[in-house]
Amino acid sequence: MAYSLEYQLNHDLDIFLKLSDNLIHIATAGAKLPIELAGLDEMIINNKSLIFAINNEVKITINPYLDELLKFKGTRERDLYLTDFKRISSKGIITFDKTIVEDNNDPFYHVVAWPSFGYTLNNFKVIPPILTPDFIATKIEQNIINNIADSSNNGKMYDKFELLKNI
Amino acid sequence: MKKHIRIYKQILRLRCKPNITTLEKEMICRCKSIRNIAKKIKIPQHDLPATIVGGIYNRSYKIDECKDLIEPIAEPLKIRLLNLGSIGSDNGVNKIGRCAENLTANYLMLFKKAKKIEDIEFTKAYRPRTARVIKRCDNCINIFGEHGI
Repeated sequence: MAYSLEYQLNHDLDIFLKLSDNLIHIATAGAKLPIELAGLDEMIINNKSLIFAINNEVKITINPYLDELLKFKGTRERDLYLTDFKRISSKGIITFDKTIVEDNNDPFYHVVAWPSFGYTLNNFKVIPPILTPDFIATKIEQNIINNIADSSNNGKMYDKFELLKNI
Repeated sequence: MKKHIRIYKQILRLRCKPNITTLEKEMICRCKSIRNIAKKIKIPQHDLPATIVGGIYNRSYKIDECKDLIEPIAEPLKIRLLNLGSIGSDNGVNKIGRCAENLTANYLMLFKKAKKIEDIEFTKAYRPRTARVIKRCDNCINIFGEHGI
Protein backbone atom coordinates (compact mmCIF):
# COMPACT_ATOMS: atom_id res chain seq x y z
CA MET A 1 0.00 0.00 0.00
CA ALA A 2 1.34 3.40 -0.97
CA TYR A 3 2.04 6.18 1.51
CA SER A 4 -1.16 8.20 1.85
CA LEU A 5 -0.99 11.95 1.37
CA GLU A 6 -1.73 12.45 5.09
CA TYR A 7 1.16 10.20 6.05
CA GLN A 8 3.54 12.04 3.72
CA LEU A 9 2.54 15.43 5.09
CA ASN A 10 2.69 14.38 8.74
CA HIS A 11 6.00 12.52 8.71
CA ASP A 12 9.62 13.30 8.09
CA LEU A 13 10.42 10.23 5.98
CA ASP A 14 13.87 8.78 5.43
CA ILE A 15 14.24 7.65 1.84
CA PHE A 16 17.36 5.69 0.92
CA LEU A 17 18.08 5.10 -2.76
CA LYS A 18 20.91 3.60 -4.75
CA LEU A 19 22.26 5.53 -7.72
CA SER A 20 24.88 4.14 -10.08
CA ASP A 21 27.84 5.14 -7.87
CA ASN A 22 26.43 6.28 -4.55
CA LEU A 23 23.81 5.76 -1.93
CA ILE A 24 21.65 8.78 -1.18
CA HIS A 25 19.36 9.71 1.69
CA ILE A 26 16.46 12.14 1.35
CA ALA A 27 14.76 13.66 4.42
CA THR A 28 11.31 14.71 3.23
CA ALA A 29 10.21 16.96 6.15
CA GLY A 30 6.54 16.43 5.38
CA ALA A 31 6.85 17.09 1.65
CA LYS A 32 4.46 15.77 -0.96
CA LEU A 33 6.24 12.97 -2.80
CA PRO A 34 5.93 12.13 -6.50
CA ILE A 35 3.24 9.44 -6.95
CA GLU A 36 5.71 6.85 -8.24
CA LEU A 37 7.94 7.29 -5.18
CA ALA A 38 5.03 7.34 -2.71
CA GLY A 39 3.88 4.01 -4.12
CA LEU A 40 7.15 2.34 -3.16
CA ASP A 41 6.56 2.33 0.60
CA GLU A 42 7.59 -1.29 1.10
CA MET A 43 10.83 -0.68 -0.74
CA ILE A 44 11.51 2.47 1.30
CA ILE A 45 10.95 0.61 4.62
CA ASN A 46 13.08 -2.29 3.46
CA ASN A 47 15.91 0.02 2.33
CA LYS A 48 15.80 1.77 5.69
CA SER A 49 16.22 -1.50 7.57
CA LEU A 50 19.23 -2.37 5.39
CA ILE A 51 20.86 0.97 6.21
CA PHE A 52 20.50 0.27 9.97
CA ALA A 53 22.85 -2.68 9.46
CA ILE A 54 25.70 -0.62 7.98
CA ASN A 55 28.46 0.08 10.48
CA ASN A 56 30.77 2.25 8.38
CA GLU A 57 32.59 5.21 9.87
CA VAL A 58 33.58 7.50 7.05
CA LYS A 59 34.89 11.06 7.13
CA ILE A 60 32.32 13.47 5.81
CA THR A 61 32.18 16.92 4.26
CA ILE A 62 29.45 19.38 5.18
CA ASN A 63 27.93 21.57 2.48
CA PRO A 64 29.93 24.84 2.76
CA TYR A 65 26.94 26.81 1.44
CA LEU A 66 24.67 25.52 4.24
CA ASP A 67 24.94 28.59 6.50
CA GLU A 68 23.94 30.90 3.70
CA LEU A 69 21.12 28.60 2.65
CA LEU A 70 19.51 28.01 6.05
CA LYS A 71 20.67 31.11 7.95
CA PHE A 72 21.45 29.51 11.31
CA LYS A 73 21.23 31.78 14.33
CA GLY A 74 24.18 30.18 16.10
CA THR A 75 26.50 27.20 16.27
CA ARG A 76 24.14 25.35 18.62
CA GLU A 77 21.31 25.50 16.10
CA ARG A 78 23.71 24.38 13.38
CA ASP A 79 24.98 21.46 15.46
CA LEU A 80 21.46 20.35 16.32
CA TYR A 81 20.52 20.52 12.66
CA LEU A 82 23.49 18.46 11.55
CA THR A 83 23.37 15.68 14.20
CA ASP A 84 21.10 13.32 12.31
CA PHE A 85 22.57 14.03 8.89
CA LYS A 86 26.11 13.47 10.16
CA ARG A 87 25.11 10.10 11.57
CA ILE A 88 23.60 8.98 8.29
CA SER A 89 26.31 10.49 6.10
CA SER A 90 29.11 8.84 8.07
CA LYS A 91 27.81 5.48 6.85
CA GLY A 92 28.97 6.53 3.36
CA ILE A 93 25.72 8.10 2.18
CA ILE A 94 25.07 11.47 0.52
CA THR A 95 22.29 13.24 2.45
CA PHE A 96 19.71 15.65 1.08
CA ASP A 97 17.19 17.69 3.03
CA LYS A 98 14.14 19.75 2.10
CA THR A 99 15.13 23.42 2.06
CA ILE A 100 11.82 25.14 2.90
CA VAL A 101 10.14 22.99 5.51
CA GLU A 102 7.00 25.13 5.85
CA ASP A 103 5.73 24.59 2.30
CA ASN A 104 4.71 21.02 1.46
CA ASN A 105 4.62 21.76 -2.26
CA ASP A 106 8.03 23.40 -2.45
CA PRO A 107 10.17 21.14 -4.68
CA PHE A 108 13.62 22.30 -3.56
CA TYR A 109 16.16 20.14 -1.74
CA HIS A 110 19.77 20.79 -0.86
CA VAL A 111 22.72 18.54 -0.17
CA VAL A 112 23.69 18.51 3.52
CA ALA A 113 26.70 16.24 3.78
CA TRP A 114 28.58 13.68 1.75
CA PRO A 115 31.39 11.18 2.38
CA SER A 116 34.82 12.70 1.74
CA PHE A 117 37.55 11.43 -0.60
CA GLY A 118 35.24 10.27 -3.39
CA TYR A 119 33.76 7.48 -1.31
CA THR A 120 31.53 5.45 -3.65
CA LEU A 121 29.69 2.14 -3.61
CA ASN A 122 32.92 0.34 -4.51
CA ASN A 123 34.40 1.35 -1.15
CA PHE A 124 31.71 -0.52 0.82
CA LYS A 125 32.92 -3.85 2.21
CA VAL A 126 29.53 -5.32 1.37
CA ILE A 127 27.31 -3.31 -0.95
CA PRO A 128 23.90 -3.13 0.76
CA PRO A 129 21.25 -4.72 -1.48
CA ILE A 130 19.18 -1.55 -1.67
CA LEU A 131 16.57 -1.54 -4.39
CA THR A 132 15.77 1.49 -6.52
CA PRO A 133 13.76 1.45 -9.75
CA ASP A 134 15.95 2.46 -12.68
CA PHE A 135 13.71 5.29 -13.87
CA ILE A 136 13.85 6.98 -10.45
CA ALA A 137 17.63 6.55 -10.08
CA THR A 138 18.21 7.91 -13.61
CA LYS A 139 15.99 10.95 -13.08
CA ILE A 140 17.57 11.82 -9.72
CA GLU A 141 21.06 11.43 -11.15
CA GLN A 142 20.10 13.65 -14.07
CA ASN A 143 18.74 16.29 -11.67
CA ILE A 144 21.96 16.21 -9.63
CA ILE A 145 24.11 16.52 -12.75
CA ASN A 146 21.97 19.43 -14.01
CA ASN A 147 22.36 21.15 -10.64
CA ILE A 148 26.14 20.79 -10.72
CA ALA A 149 26.18 22.23 -14.25
CA ASP A 150 23.88 25.12 -13.27
CA SER A 151 25.76 25.90 -10.09
CA SER A 152 29.08 26.08 -11.92
CA ASN A 153 27.46 28.62 -14.29
CA ASN A 154 25.87 30.86 -11.68
CA GLY A 155 28.65 30.47 -9.12
CA LYS A 156 26.34 29.22 -6.37
CA MET A 157 27.82 25.85 -5.54
CA TYR A 158 25.65 23.38 -3.64
CA ASP A 159 22.57 25.59 -3.87
CA LYS A 160 19.03 24.19 -3.50
CA PHE A 161 17.57 22.42 -6.53
CA GLU A 162 14.65 20.26 -7.64
CA LEU A 163 15.90 16.81 -6.64
CA LEU A 164 12.72 14.90 -7.47
CA LYS A 165 11.87 16.76 -10.68
CA ASN A 166 10.12 14.84 -13.50
CA ILE A 167 9.69 11.62 -11.52
CA MET B 1 24.78 9.01 36.45
CA LYS B 2 25.34 12.61 35.32
CA LYS B 3 23.07 11.96 32.36
CA HIS B 4 20.32 10.68 34.64
CA ILE B 5 20.60 13.71 36.90
CA ARG B 6 20.35 15.99 33.86
CA ILE B 7 17.24 14.21 32.59
CA TYR B 8 15.71 14.27 36.08
CA LYS B 9 16.37 18.01 36.31
CA GLN B 10 14.73 18.52 32.94
CA ILE B 11 11.63 16.67 34.05
CA LEU B 12 11.48 18.56 37.34
CA ARG B 13 11.93 21.91 35.62
CA LEU B 14 8.66 21.48 33.73
CA ARG B 15 6.79 19.63 36.51
CA CYS B 16 7.61 22.21 39.20
CA LYS B 17 7.36 25.32 37.09
CA PRO B 18 5.06 24.67 34.16
CA ASN B 19 5.24 27.83 32.08
CA ILE B 20 5.92 28.72 28.49
CA THR B 21 9.68 29.15 29.03
CA THR B 22 10.19 25.74 30.63
CA LEU B 23 7.94 24.14 28.02
CA GLU B 24 10.00 25.76 25.26
CA LYS B 25 13.16 24.21 26.76
CA GLU B 26 11.41 20.87 27.10
CA MET B 27 10.53 21.01 23.39
CA ILE B 28 14.17 21.05 22.32
CA CYS B 29 14.92 18.14 24.69
CA ARG B 30 11.89 16.34 23.28
CA CYS B 31 13.24 16.79 19.74
CA LYS B 32 16.49 15.16 20.82
CA SER B 33 14.77 12.28 22.59
CA ILE B 34 12.38 11.58 19.70
CA ARG B 35 15.38 11.41 17.41
CA ASN B 36 17.38 9.21 19.79
CA ILE B 37 14.49 6.81 20.25
CA ALA B 38 14.15 6.56 16.47
CA LYS B 39 17.86 5.81 16.28
CA LYS B 40 17.84 3.18 19.01
CA ILE B 41 14.69 1.17 18.39
CA LYS B 42 15.68 0.42 14.78
CA ILE B 43 12.15 -0.23 13.61
CA PRO B 44 12.19 0.80 9.96
CA GLN B 45 8.43 1.45 9.92
CA HIS B 46 8.87 4.18 12.52
CA ASP B 47 9.08 7.61 10.92
CA LEU B 48 9.75 10.87 12.71
CA PRO B 49 6.87 13.33 12.96
CA ALA B 50 7.26 16.39 10.73
CA THR B 51 6.33 18.92 13.44
CA ILE B 52 5.76 19.08 17.19
CA VAL B 53 4.20 21.91 19.19
CA GLY B 54 3.60 22.45 22.89
CA GLY B 55 0.67 24.28 24.43
CA ILE B 56 0.12 25.35 28.04
CA TYR B 57 -2.99 26.38 29.93
CA ASN B 58 -2.69 27.17 33.66
CA ARG B 59 -0.46 24.34 34.87
CA SER B 60 -1.55 21.82 32.23
CA TYR B 61 0.55 21.31 29.17
CA LYS B 62 0.44 19.13 26.09
CA ILE B 63 2.99 18.39 23.40
CA ASP B 64 1.54 16.99 20.21
CA GLU B 65 2.58 16.27 16.64
CA CYS B 66 0.89 17.13 13.37
CA LYS B 67 -1.78 14.69 12.29
CA ASP B 68 -5.39 14.78 11.19
CA LEU B 69 -7.81 16.22 13.71
CA ILE B 70 -10.59 13.80 14.58
CA GLU B 71 -13.81 14.11 16.57
CA PRO B 72 -14.52 15.14 19.29
CA ILE B 73 -13.42 18.70 18.54
CA ALA B 74 -13.89 21.53 21.06
CA GLU B 75 -16.61 23.95 19.92
CA PRO B 76 -14.59 27.23 19.84
CA LEU B 77 -11.87 25.55 17.78
CA LYS B 78 -14.41 23.93 15.47
CA ILE B 79 -16.05 27.30 14.75
CA ARG B 80 -12.72 28.89 13.83
CA LEU B 81 -11.70 25.94 11.68
CA LEU B 82 -15.03 25.95 9.83
CA ASN B 83 -14.54 29.66 9.06
CA LEU B 84 -11.54 28.60 6.96
CA GLY B 85 -13.34 25.72 5.23
CA SER B 86 -14.40 22.15 5.94
CA ILE B 87 -12.09 20.29 8.31
CA GLY B 88 -9.66 18.01 6.47
CA SER B 89 -9.91 19.89 3.17
CA ASP B 90 -7.06 21.83 1.57
CA ASN B 91 -7.71 25.57 1.34
CA GLY B 92 -4.61 26.29 -0.70
CA VAL B 93 -2.51 27.17 2.36
CA ASN B 94 -2.54 23.88 4.21
CA LYS B 95 -4.89 21.07 5.11
CA ILE B 96 -7.38 22.51 7.60
CA GLY B 97 -6.97 21.03 11.09
CA ARG B 98 -3.78 19.15 10.29
CA CYS B 99 -1.34 21.33 12.21
CA ALA B 100 -0.08 20.28 15.62
CA GLU B 101 -1.44 23.51 17.19
CA ASN B 102 -4.99 22.28 16.54
CA LEU B 103 -4.41 18.96 18.28
CA THR B 104 -2.74 20.60 21.26
CA ALA B 105 -5.48 23.21 21.62
CA ASN B 106 -8.19 20.58 21.20
CA TYR B 107 -6.73 18.43 24.00
CA LEU B 108 -6.37 21.36 26.40
CA MET B 109 -9.91 22.54 25.69
CA LEU B 110 -11.54 19.13 25.93
CA PHE B 111 -9.67 17.66 28.87
CA LYS B 112 -8.03 20.56 30.75
CA LYS B 113 -10.95 22.98 30.83
CA ALA B 114 -9.44 25.74 28.68
CA LYS B 115 -12.46 27.74 27.55
CA LYS B 116 -10.95 30.17 25.07
CA ILE B 117 -8.26 29.66 22.46
CA GLU B 118 -6.65 32.94 23.59
CA ASP B 119 -6.03 31.40 27.05
CA ILE B 120 -3.66 28.81 25.61
CA GLU B 121 -0.01 29.74 25.13
CA PHE B 122 1.92 27.92 22.44
CA THR B 123 5.59 27.22 21.99
CA LYS B 124 7.21 27.56 18.62
CA ALA B 125 6.74 24.61 16.27
CA TYR B 126 9.80 22.39 15.96
CA ARG B 127 10.98 19.78 13.48
CA PRO B 128 12.18 16.87 15.67
CA ARG B 129 14.92 15.76 13.27
CA THR B 130 16.73 19.08 13.37
CA ALA B 131 15.16 20.94 16.34
CA ARG B 132 14.72 23.92 14.00
CA VAL B 133 11.77 26.26 14.35
CA ILE B 134 9.02 25.96 11.75
CA LYS B 135 7.11 29.14 10.94
CA ARG B 136 3.40 29.18 11.74
CA CYS B 137 1.22 28.63 8.66
CA ASP B 138 -1.40 31.18 7.56
CA ASN B 139 -4.27 28.95 8.71
CA CYS B 140 -2.81 28.80 12.23
CA ILE B 141 -2.17 32.56 12.22
CA ASN B 142 -5.89 33.00 11.44
CA ILE B 143 -6.95 30.70 14.28
CA PHE B 144 -4.32 31.28 16.97
CA GLY B 145 -2.80 34.61 15.93
CA GLU B 146 0.83 35.46 15.34
CA HIS B 147 3.31 33.70 17.56
CA GLY B 148 3.91 35.72 20.72
CA ILE B 149 7.46 34.69 21.62
